[in-house]
Amino acid sequence: MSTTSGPGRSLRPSQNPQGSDGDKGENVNSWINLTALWQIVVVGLLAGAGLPALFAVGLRALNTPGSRVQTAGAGAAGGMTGTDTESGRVYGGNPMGLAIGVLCFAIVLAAIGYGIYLIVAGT
Amino acid sequence: MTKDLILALVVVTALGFDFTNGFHDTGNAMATSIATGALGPRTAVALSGVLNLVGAFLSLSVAATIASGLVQTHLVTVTVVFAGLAGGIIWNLLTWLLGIPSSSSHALIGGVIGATIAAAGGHAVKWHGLVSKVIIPAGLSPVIALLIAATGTWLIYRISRNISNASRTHGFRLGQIGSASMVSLAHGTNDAQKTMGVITLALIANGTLASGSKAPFWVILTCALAISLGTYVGGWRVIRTLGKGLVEIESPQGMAAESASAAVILLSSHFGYSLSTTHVATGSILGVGVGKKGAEVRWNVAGRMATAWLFTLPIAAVVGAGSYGLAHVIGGLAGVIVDFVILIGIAGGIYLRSRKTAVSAHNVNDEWTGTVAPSEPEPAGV
Repeated sequence: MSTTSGPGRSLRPSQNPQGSDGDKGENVNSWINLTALWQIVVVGLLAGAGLPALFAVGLRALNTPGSRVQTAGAGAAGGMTGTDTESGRVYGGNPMGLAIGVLCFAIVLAAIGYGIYLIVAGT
Repeated sequence: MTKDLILALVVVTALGFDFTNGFHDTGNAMATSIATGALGPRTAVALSGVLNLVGAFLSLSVAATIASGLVQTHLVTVTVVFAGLAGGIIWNLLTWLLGIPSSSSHALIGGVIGATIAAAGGHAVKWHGLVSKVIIPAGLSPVIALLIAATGTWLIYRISRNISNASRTHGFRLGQIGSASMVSLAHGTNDAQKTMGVITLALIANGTLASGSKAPFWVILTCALAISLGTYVGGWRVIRTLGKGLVEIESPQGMAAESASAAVILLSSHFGYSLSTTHVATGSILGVGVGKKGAEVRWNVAGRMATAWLFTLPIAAVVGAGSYGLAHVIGGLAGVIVDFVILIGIAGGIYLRSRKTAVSAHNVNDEWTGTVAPSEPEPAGV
């Protein structure tokens, strides 16, 4: 058997279309790769909706109520200037919120880094 | 000599297609950032252009993937590739004129398939591959993107409802820029490769490269530059439809849309589907309209787009087939040159027509009044 490696290749193609998971429903899988589909949906939800949500948690943590000037922030909503004083106030106001915020942003950044790694290595 | 001249025309046409691909798709990444003011229009297209350039170089495992699995590549001649590109370019320019975001990949695939059928008959097309790799993913991807973007939007607004408007806008604008950058990067990686693949296919068909070769460096470089330049020029008409026409977008929605797009595009290419960035981006933008309470989604605009998507493959195919037929009847180099001249003529005509209702960086964000070009008469800018 091992001596016929050359022609043996022509006997093998039946293995190729099977790929790694040829067990179930080949008929359906030949049109839609259901394994890929559900992973795209689930991981897509985690990354595409979960990460922005985490980003929102981070923002909320940075803007935790408890700092007395918070209400003034809403009053100054019209002007986009003064973000420095605004963030300074928030940081000073709540160290716990700052920690949670930084953690959230760090996770989001790490996920983005992993995404870029996937682009470079995954293709 | 003649063969080389035809090949040169094909390469120029392919780069031209790559350019239209760039400016047609700028909006996929940047429309939401421009609409919410997270980035100035000029800054946005420049950033996207640079990231497309970087993206095109990021992944270098380029082969003639666009056609293999869809047509019998040994039946593809240089003239077929040329005619296919002509079909893709004309569809891209027409939809751009109408301000309709439509898939450049579908335009290219349609053109190549039409030209292949005209050259070799229907058996040269791998119909199963076409349905399972192109048509089914195209139907599913906008729905998945819509679902993810709607979920993300709902979560974001719920979580951030106690934050003051100013902090929220400021924070999410940053997030928007980050996520839109990811989409630009992914676009450069995916779409620049498609043209690289087409040029490689032509080089193989011409006998310049051996079958199964990878793209030479000059192909990678010129394709990267063409798509990046096209992105920088900015398809303002399409940007306007995506950013202003579908949904009025706030910055949290912008971030949700671009994150969903980036996730779906990257995951799908991880699984070997080269999706249309346009379909995904449109699905995401609709999703952020669905996910926010009280947001108005202009379904009639979306319907117009979906109709255009249905016609992309067939019409590009008809143009590709016609273009091949003409080149074939005249024959040889003369045939390709006649095609090329007609293509330039049509492209020029569409461009001149677009000047009458110019959309550019200065009016891209004007109030949506139901038309691509803002209704008030503008002195033509740049």
